[in-house]
Amino acid sequence: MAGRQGAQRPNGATQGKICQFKLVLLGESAVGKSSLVLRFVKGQFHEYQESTIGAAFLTQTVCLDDTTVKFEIWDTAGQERYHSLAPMYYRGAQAAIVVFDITNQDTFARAKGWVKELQRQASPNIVIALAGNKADLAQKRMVEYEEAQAYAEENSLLFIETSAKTAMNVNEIFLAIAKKLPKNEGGGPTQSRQSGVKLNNEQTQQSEGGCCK
Amino acid sequence: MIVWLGFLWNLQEGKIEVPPEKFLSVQSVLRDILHNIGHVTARKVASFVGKIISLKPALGTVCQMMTRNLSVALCNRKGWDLNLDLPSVCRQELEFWLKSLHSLPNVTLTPISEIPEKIMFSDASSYAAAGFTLERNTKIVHYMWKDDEKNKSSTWRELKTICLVLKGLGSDLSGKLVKIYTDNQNVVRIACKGSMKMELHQLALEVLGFCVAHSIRLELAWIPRDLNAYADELSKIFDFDDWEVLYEKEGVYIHINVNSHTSDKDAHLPGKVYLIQKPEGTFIEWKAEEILQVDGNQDQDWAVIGSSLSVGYKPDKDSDALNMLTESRKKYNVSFDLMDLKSFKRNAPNHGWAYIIFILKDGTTYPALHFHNGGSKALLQQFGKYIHIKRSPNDSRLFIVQEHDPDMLSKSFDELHLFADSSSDLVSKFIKDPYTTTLGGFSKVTNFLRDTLLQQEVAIHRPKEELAAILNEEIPGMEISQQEPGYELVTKTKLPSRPEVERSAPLNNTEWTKHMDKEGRILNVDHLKEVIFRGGIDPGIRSEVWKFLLGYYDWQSTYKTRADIRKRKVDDYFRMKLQWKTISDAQERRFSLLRERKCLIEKDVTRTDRTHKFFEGECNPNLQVLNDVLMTYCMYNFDLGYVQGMSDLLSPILVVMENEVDSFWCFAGLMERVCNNFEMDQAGMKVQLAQLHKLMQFTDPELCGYLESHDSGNFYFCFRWLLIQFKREFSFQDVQRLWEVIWTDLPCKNFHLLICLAILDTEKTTLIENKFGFTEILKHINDMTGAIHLEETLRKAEGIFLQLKQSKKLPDALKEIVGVEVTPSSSTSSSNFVTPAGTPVNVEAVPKLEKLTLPKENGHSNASSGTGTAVTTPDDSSIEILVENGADSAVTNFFT
Repeated sequence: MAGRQGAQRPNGATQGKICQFKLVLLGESAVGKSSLVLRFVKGQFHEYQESTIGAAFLTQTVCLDDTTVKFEIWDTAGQERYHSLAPMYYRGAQAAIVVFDITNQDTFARAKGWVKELQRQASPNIVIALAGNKADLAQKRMVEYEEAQAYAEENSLLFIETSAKTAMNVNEIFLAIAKKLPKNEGGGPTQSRQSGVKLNNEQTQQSEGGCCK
Repeated sequence: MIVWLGFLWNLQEGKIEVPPEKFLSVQSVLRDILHNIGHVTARKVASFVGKIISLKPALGTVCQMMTRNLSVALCNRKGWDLNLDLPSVCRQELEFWLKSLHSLPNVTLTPISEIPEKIMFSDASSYAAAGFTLERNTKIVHYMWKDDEKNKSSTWRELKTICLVLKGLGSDLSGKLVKIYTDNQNVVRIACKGSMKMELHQLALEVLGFCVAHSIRLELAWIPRDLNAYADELSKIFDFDDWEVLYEKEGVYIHINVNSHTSDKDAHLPGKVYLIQKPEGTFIEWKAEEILQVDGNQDQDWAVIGSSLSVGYKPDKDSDALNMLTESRKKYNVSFDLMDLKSFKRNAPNHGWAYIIFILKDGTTYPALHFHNGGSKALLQQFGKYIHIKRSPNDSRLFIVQEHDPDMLSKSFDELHLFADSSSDLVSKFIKDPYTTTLGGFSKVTNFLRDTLLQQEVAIHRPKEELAAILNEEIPGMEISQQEPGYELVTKTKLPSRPEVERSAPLNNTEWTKHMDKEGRILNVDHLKEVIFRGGIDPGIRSEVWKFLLGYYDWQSTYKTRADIRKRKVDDYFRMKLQWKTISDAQERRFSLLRERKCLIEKDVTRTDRTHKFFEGECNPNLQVLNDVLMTYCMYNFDLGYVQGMSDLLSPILVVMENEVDSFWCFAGLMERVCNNFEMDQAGMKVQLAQLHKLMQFTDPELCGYLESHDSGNFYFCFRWLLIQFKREFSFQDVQRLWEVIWTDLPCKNFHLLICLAILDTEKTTLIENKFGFTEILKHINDMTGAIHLEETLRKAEGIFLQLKQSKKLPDALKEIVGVEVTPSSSTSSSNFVTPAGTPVNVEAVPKLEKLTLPKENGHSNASSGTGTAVTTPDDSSIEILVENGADSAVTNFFT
């Protein structure tokens, strides 16, 4: 049922490592950022998902072998006007999903812009995934798979076409990111305090020993 | 003990036992058969079966059941002295007897008079099995059939249910006399005697095997279906996989909007709450009641559809609407792991029913679950098995889940030897009542203390000397060292107590017309505004009055001039509409800015308030109006154009006006008030967030300090509130009420900021006691949609205003913000704010924290390294202020 695909809690939750990662969603307005998150976190889809004002924060946990990966997901407002707020969210993020709409070439161009900005200004080790969303509307496709794929390869990004509506590849993209994230001490992500956004106990603890507890 | 009829009658224990010699004789035949399997005559097998059957008085029906296959084989014999073909099922029976002969329970002499120790009821539906125990703490077993199981016969499912119920309760039943009621007579018979049908027989064996293994004496009995209603209902619960339901309660409602009236049926979603054991954890769930629909038979469609839908719909359309309704209800479904629960609020159910609001560790805040038929206490009692809950000392409705053993905390303090006796007394007093202990004003220290005291992780993980330094320095005299660089502290300000204010009825038509002279001029505008401020406007005259509030009509205008104005406005609107309407495709191709805006508006219009009746459904014509007004506004104010959030501001206006032109001009009037919110550099938003900060520093230094020390001094979590004037936080009705109150500009300038303070004041305990940080605060605030009491908030906000107004030491900066008169001699009164250097500062023009942001070298090394990277792009200067003010200055305060 809703909310249960892919995202499983660990049994007992004490075995294995627990990693916590900050992930940010970026991309042009109305490409489906919130819908991807909603699908991933709650297993729901709303045809007329309202626009995001400010930002939304959600969490979801996935299990990867013996590791429990907890995503702290920042869903941002897409419109250019709110661009200036984005650094607040991607700062300190260990992962980003840059989303575009495969039926709209402009959103792909904007996605490239976001990738560039992240490469320039986000944490150097940030894992970036490119999501070509609305794959269920393939008959209206304006961005060829190969084109996006080639771009992703050039920039060493994960690339997956997704559909929040049909749930296609939604869990997969988060899992792929989880796999790519460093889960050992030392190779860990930037310390969370650098995010300048969050500073609670969990993270205080973490900053002492990489990302894993 | 007597021997009678070939059995031992144990009168002491009331049992009939098999004499040992009988066991021996059975065993020897059995060994013989098993040893020579394949070469055993039918006669020999028959003799064995006969011996077993003869044990029935002592061992019960098992004798019949566990010889059933052998009997079948005997029936198929070719001759009594020919070798009998024994299929594997027969061999299983033989092996069963070899293994269990001695361990089978004996029939008791008084089975009827003995009272069963457990009584259970079971039932199976086509998709689930369920059973429950009849006792004080009813236990429920629930199981969803797998696809292949769904296709089995009903008897199979009923019998399987018995298995599941037994296994589900497992050790609870060990050694007991258990009575299970089922409404299937076959089941009673088969469970006792087995069945000729293989799969049924297997199940009967499963039941028997389980009972033997757990020394359970099972009695099955049939009851008529109508007496088994509860189990029947349980078995019809849909939606679970293979989970065990630990608790459930129907009649639990989510009120879509806290301010809705009980008469508004749509606003109360009925559902059920469950506590479910799943493989991955213990979950609390709430599910909206299914809106049932019978497929196939057209005639029946109407019979089962809820009465909430009008009958005028055509069936196909109706089922669409039904699907939509079901879908939209699903989004309220609640499901979370009990381990993620941070706290909950439960009202005292003295007034009607109880409700519970669950708040998770990540800040997720669910809508209140209203237990119309009771049951909240029983649910919470279940929690006790899994989590430790403590009532908040400051809010009797708030319960906090305890993460750790509280003894650990005091121990960690003991180990640190931080406190002399006197200060530890202070600390304990502080823990008991942090709000009224006189530390209130020294918010930062107190907040830090709170964290230290209440979060043992911090106490443990923070370097000892650091902790010691801070505590030793600040605790003894509780004096603030003003030389401390970076310390920005507010000395204790005592606000006058908050007056209670009353709200009243909305402005109605009678009163409205009374305020008009013969020619239609509005008389006594101030009084009218006062009435609107105090009670809003009756929806019947709302569209008319709004036109005045939003500057479409002048208060001094007459009927005549208004008609003229309106005519002109209509012309004006269509002239502007024509401007963008007549741009050709070719033109548009060379006009990227317009194209962009068009595209943006289109995207937002399709997703603005689509669940509201006014905008719902595909191709709803009102969407076009929404689109056209926004496009025309782009022509009206090309510099501003369209920014996300504007569609939210327009939509309630359109709903009220129901007219394109009027909506446009009212929207333009509203934009006049809030256009600063949409500036490219977010300057307008920044100013308001900073003002909010300043106000709270004065009105509630404790909460303010808490927010600062939890990375939220930037008040960014209020962004949505401010940007679209709380549009997303309230229902349409309420937002309309709220807006008209705000538009009166009473009782002061920037009243909306005081509304923010009022909401935050209500949430204060929740935020602080849950120890929420930046993300949790933001999430909690975002999740409060529909959960804010409007009238209460307005009363509180006005109360805060009166406190400010009556305060003798209100700093000039705040006077400026709320627009009360700045007294010329009051420059010294602003010395409530003390800078690090201890000099009074006039906080007027620049947000204060901005001034106080420290050079990074002074900051904590971890904290400072992050901020530097933020400000490299030219256009995100806003970030610098937002982040540095909030997050880092607060951090540096503690670590320098």
